[in-house]
Amino acid sequence: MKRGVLFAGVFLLSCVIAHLIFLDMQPRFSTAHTVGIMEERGRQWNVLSVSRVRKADKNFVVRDNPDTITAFAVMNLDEGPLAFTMPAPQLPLYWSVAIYAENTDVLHITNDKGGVECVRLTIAPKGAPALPGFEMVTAPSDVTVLIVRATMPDRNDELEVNALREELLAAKLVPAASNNKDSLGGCS
Amino acid sequence: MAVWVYMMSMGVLGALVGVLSAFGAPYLFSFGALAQKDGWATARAIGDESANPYLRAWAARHGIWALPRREAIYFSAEVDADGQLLQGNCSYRIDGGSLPTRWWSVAAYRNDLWMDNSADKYSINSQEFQSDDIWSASFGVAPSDAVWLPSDGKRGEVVFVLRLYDPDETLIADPLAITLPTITREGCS
Repeated sequence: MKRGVLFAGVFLLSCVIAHLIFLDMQPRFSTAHTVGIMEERGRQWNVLSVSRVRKADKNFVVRDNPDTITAFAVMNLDEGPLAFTMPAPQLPLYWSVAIYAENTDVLHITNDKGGVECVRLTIAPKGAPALPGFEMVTAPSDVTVLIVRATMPDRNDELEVNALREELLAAKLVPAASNNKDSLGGCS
Repeated sequence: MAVWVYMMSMGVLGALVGVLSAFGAPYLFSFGALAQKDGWATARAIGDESANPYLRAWAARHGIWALPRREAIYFSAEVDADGQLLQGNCSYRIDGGSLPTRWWSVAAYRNDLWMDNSADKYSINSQEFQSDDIWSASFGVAPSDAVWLPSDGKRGEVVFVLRLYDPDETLIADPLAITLPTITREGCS
């Protein structure tokens, strides 16, 4: 009888502990899974890429927003902080820059409401210094994700979409070393 | 010796059950993450770092890297005004009023992906309407007088997603306080 209670206790205790630990890790697993799919499709780390307007047969993103153009980067801060700059897009009715931690927490959002002319962010692990004139985004994990979203009035208006893409292509993501400031283009 | 073997076995078995139950939970349950009104559902937990681990796991599985509520609010509809599942081979009228947000859209999805159509149009958005005080759109295989949200015309379930970007404070405080668009079935092929 005593042994039965002991065995049941061990079973329950290990079950609860494993359940809670694994549950807490699930957002990280979701990030790793999604990033893994992106790597398989050729996406590189620390490289900002601006999406093209796709048709349904070329789009496999779950519940993707068909009205936005996005700039996207999966970042690994293992090799040091990164600097992000983007002149504020003028064409979209709404735009935002969002940075997510590996556990999917939202670390930072800049949007078009504050009259920002140029977004300047240093994305770095705890304790790293920010570049002068750059807002600091402290990441609790090496893996972070950056997404710029900009709304398109009409995805089938090629001229308008290309103009909006050009605005997003002005965004830069480079290692945050001072000798890289020239790489940041007109928004450094 | 045998006691320790049994105990270790129980521990391993318990851990296995714990891992499997944690993995399956966000697939099987929504843990109250969804609030519903008039056929539309919104996920309170998306982008909320203060949510409990169950809600966080659910949100990561169903809306990874979505914008938080202060930035965007998402609703999804799987049923029409009569509570019947939305179908790709049916046509619907979507009637709405003013929505307290800077920009909104309604997109149609089949199996969570865009519905393939020759017009290469997968949504309607607020910039297509002269005034959004009262607006009306149609969902179907052919355009009508109203702003058109194309369907692929195939049988099977469809989901509409309403996105509200830069919502007003009132909407952020209580997303269910607003009047949501009405989806009315007009016919099926």
